[in-house]
Amino acid sequence: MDNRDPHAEPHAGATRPDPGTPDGRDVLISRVIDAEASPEDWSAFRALAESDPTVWRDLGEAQRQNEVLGEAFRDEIRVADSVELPELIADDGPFQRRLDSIGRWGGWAAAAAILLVWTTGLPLGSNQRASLIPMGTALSDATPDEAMERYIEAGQRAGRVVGEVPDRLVIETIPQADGSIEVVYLRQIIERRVTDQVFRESKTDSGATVPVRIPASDIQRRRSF
Amino acid sequence: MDEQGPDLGAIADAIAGDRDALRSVWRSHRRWVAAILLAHKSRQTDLDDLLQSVAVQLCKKIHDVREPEAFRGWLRMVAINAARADGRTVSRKRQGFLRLVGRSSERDEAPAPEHTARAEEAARLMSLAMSLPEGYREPLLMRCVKGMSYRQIGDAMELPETTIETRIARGRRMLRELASGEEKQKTPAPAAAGSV
Repeated sequence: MDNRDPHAEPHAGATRPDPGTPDGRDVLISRVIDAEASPEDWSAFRALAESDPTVWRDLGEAQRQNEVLGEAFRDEIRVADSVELPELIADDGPFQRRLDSIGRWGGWAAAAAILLVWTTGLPLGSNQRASLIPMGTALSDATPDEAMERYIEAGQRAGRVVGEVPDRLVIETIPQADGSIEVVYLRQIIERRVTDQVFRESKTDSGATVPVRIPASDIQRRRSF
Repeated sequence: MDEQGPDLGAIADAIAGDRDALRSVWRSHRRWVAAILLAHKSRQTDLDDLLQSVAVQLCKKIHDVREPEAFRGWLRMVAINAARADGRTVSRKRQGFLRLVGRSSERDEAPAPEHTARAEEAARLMSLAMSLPEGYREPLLMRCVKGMSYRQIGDAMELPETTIETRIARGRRMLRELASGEEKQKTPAPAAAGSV
């Protein structure tokens, strides 16, 4: 007894494409490429190939293009594997409203930074850090904070470091077994440099990113933010 | 997304507020979301920006999904809306970035793109695929997500499986014809017989 629902939509493999129509020919080729061809599909394909040998050429070309397109596609979407959910989204109203307010920006890292400020009551990158480093301590003996402080001070004296962005962007938060939270964040140091070559990113017709040199005469004073 | 499709139980838990389930659901769907974004976004918009935008929307709005079976269709619309919103602000910001290239010791920072013939063809085919009509482009790209079946694509697009199969087959033919047309344009016409 056939228990199938007579009103159910047939699944793709259950249909018999008509090789005499363009769509039927395309579907047969597509099924072979996707390894979905049934023995009946193969029989129909061979019968078609006897009267139209170009179907073999089209199959080969379609197969090759499918592989190349698949590679290109996987390269394009590889970035998806590194995009995680914003971890600190809470159910409380105030955070939700803040999240809404930055929704247009489209990046959750900024939202996480805002939340971190609330949590601590003080931006991590604020200038209230301990700034008294024992003078005369060798760099190799300095703590990471001391070494960073020295780098910033030396950079400012040399005109290389402009400053540090006070807000830190949270990349990841990991609750620990002891109730604490490990926070992975980005510190942003602003540097300046004099250069004779400036490039702008541009897209080719195929979508590839390429550098385009900007003549010095075209450079105007501007800010990116 | 595995061949069996997403775990409806996990989706139900995520809708109910289980964050571990939500994280799991996102991880099993993010490549699929990327395929939808790729099919609908403008070329200048960064995919990772859009993915982050969808991730935020997922956290904020998943409670609006009434039943797990409707989740994929809902998530697809979230992705399409994000892509269409276009991230114009982000694009403008990026266009404002200047890449600095110093002298001598900084020379190695200069971008020097190298393209193999295969990579060039891949970029060309991707570009041609992006020029297909939307109704063909989206299922064709979704099919490139490993393990995504016609049925799963049909569920997401709320179309019959047979329609999806036909669109993918037609899309592949269109791609062959477009690529073939480009090749013919590249090949110089043979000199006419008798010409000097």
